[in-house]
Amino acid sequence: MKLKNLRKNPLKREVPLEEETEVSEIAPPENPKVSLPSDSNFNHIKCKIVRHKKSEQFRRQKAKAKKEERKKRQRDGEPKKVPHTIESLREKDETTIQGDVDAEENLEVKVDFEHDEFASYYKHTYEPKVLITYSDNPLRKTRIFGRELTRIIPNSISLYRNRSGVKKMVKSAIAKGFTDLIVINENMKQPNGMLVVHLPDGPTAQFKLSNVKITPELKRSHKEITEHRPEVILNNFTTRLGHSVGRMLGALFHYDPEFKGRRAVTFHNQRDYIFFRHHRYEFDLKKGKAKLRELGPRFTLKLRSLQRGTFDSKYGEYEWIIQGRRHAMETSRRKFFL
Amino acid sequence: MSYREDLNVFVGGTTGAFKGLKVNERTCIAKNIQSLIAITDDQEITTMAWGDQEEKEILIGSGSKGIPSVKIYDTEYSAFTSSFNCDGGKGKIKGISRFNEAHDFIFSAVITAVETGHVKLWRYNESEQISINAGENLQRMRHSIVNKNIIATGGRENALKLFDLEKQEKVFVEKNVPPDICQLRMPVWVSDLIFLPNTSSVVTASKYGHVRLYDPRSTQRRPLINLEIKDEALTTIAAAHKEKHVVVGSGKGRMNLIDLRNPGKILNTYKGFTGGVTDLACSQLHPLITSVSLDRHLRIHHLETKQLLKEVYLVFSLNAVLLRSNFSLEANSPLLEDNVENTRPISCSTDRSTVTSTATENCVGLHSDYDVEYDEMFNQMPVIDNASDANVTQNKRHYPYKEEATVIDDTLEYDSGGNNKKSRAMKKNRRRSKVR
Repeated sequence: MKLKNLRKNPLKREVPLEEETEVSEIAPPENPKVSLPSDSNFNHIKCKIVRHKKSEQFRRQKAKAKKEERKKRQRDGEPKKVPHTIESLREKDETTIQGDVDAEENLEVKVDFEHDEFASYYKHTYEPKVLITYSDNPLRKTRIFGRELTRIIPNSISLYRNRSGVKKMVKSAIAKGFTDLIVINENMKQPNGMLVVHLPDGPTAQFKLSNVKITPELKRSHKEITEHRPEVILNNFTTRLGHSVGRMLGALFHYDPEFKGRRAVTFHNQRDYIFFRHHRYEFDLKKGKAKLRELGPRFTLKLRSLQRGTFDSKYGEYEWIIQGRRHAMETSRRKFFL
Repeated sequence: MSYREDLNVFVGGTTGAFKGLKVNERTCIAKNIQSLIAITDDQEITTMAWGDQEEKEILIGSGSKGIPSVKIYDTEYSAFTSSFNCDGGKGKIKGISRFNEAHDFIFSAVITAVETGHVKLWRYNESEQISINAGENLQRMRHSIVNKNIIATGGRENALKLFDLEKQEKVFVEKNVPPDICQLRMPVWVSDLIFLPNTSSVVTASKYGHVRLYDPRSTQRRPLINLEIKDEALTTIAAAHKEKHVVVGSGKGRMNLIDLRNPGKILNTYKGFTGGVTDLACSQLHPLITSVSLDRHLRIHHLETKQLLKEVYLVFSLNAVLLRSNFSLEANSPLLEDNVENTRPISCSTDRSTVTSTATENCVGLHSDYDVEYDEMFNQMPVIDNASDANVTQNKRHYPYKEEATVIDDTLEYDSGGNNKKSRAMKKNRRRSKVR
């Protein structure tokens, strides 16, 4: 027996509801909700062919209506709506730097920039000199990749490591006047990690390296790459951490590009992945747009950690590290750090 | 508004920024005390400490590469009162403190310790300066609270040492733990140390992840308790609001509560960090832990519930934090405000009439004031009955720490005079005599 029925008092006298019933009989409610058969659901049709035909017809009608509506909107000149993407719905980060760095509300950030480790580079007090090296016994692709990086980064050389430790290399690189050190790691014949150390006193960034395409894989030749110093485009680094990383990558290149070479190097951040592309551009005066030709290589970086000071993964102090706390940090698909 | 009421947290940044914060349960106001335009290169604030018992002045050690310098900030007048270069020794200042000598009230000395191991006592009279060599690669110097003559130092391959400033000699040197099973010497890297409050024992944190408790009074020079947190390079340690408990922070952003009662245990882990913890401070009255980290945030955790109560973005990456002893997240409790209003006129008058007013004078003035105020407080106190008790338990369900705070609030009253225990005992005596 159901509980509902038990709750009723069997001895209760029923109250006659005569008046109300009378009213309802005389004047039915003004807007009765009549449930009509749905015009979009054809499941009740038993013949498969008819059912299919009907649903197809309905689908076509709907698409047509939608198209017409869009055309009408375009004719009326209504503003375009922004589509909802993971990026446009990104979770707000309080460290995001809004507007220009020189603006008054960003004074604190500006002061911070003026006194960080890259301040002297951005004041043009030194020319960067970069040492590129590998993990022990690099194989063909990694070696080619490293050598291609030397063509992209001006004033850089690639050397084999000779089983030296990173801390040792940092010491000797400082002594020889290098300003940055790049170590490319390799696994299963593919380059898979990149360590960037700013010298002489940090910071150190560790990146995951993926989707490396060297020039032959892009059906290009390294001979196309000229010796001119490239322009550097740092795109979409928004948060404070993103700016630190962007500044670090920017400081690898010479601050004074040779525009004659029409070379551009792009670090584009999208959803915390930093995409690297290398192009030669040409202005098309007829179209008013630049023509691009990709020169290669291309690769993707993802930040693993940013450490204060030069490399010391065991006893160093990290400014940002994701290792061991991904569940705590990656709380949603729409949360990004750069 | 009294200086004790205004800003209750102070932080120092790696680029030289020095900020004062007023943190409440709801709001948090941050103020740049050091003017941003005046910041030059190489002004990294490496350490900060309170200069006196009343928490009026802050000693700031700054500079990282060249000759470090010391600045003194007065919170009462909100101005930098003095600064001097700390020549002799290079590198960062790793510890700073105020040393009050028995014979000299007016010009108390400042102790500084730099990375190269030079511990120096800066007296007003330059000829009387004392210098101690504590060994290379110094990482931290701290001053004992109980015995004002004792300082402790430690660093990389630089064992824990205790010095007596009066006699200028070593009082205690730790003995390294026994070698491992391969008969290899265990390396030493003391990154931070503290004196446990109201005891003479010292706790050190090491970059190799060890937390060790030493008792300089006992004959045993090896640690009494030796704990290890695996794979974490500990950078900072602070005494928690609980007996024989400490909080440690690591370079990878892990923060733990550690119980140092035998046999020692690692307790709570506090979450929310994305960068390394650089400095910690615990409230003396409430179970709150304030931490600053390299990810540019200040965080306040509850000691027991591990809840992250507050997280503030402060733009600069931070190196040091200082907390007032009356720090709480409660918005100004009425009792506290009363207290401040009473004490203010007297403390101000003494200060203005004699610029070189000594600490003792101030104390006398405060105590005479307390008697009246103490009675007043008792009159104001509500009578607690069963009905109001029920209210308290109701509160408990929502905010576990709120209930604690209401209980502790009346102890707050005592504390603002400075020496907590003494004043309480004195008042008790007075009360008794009145009754008679």
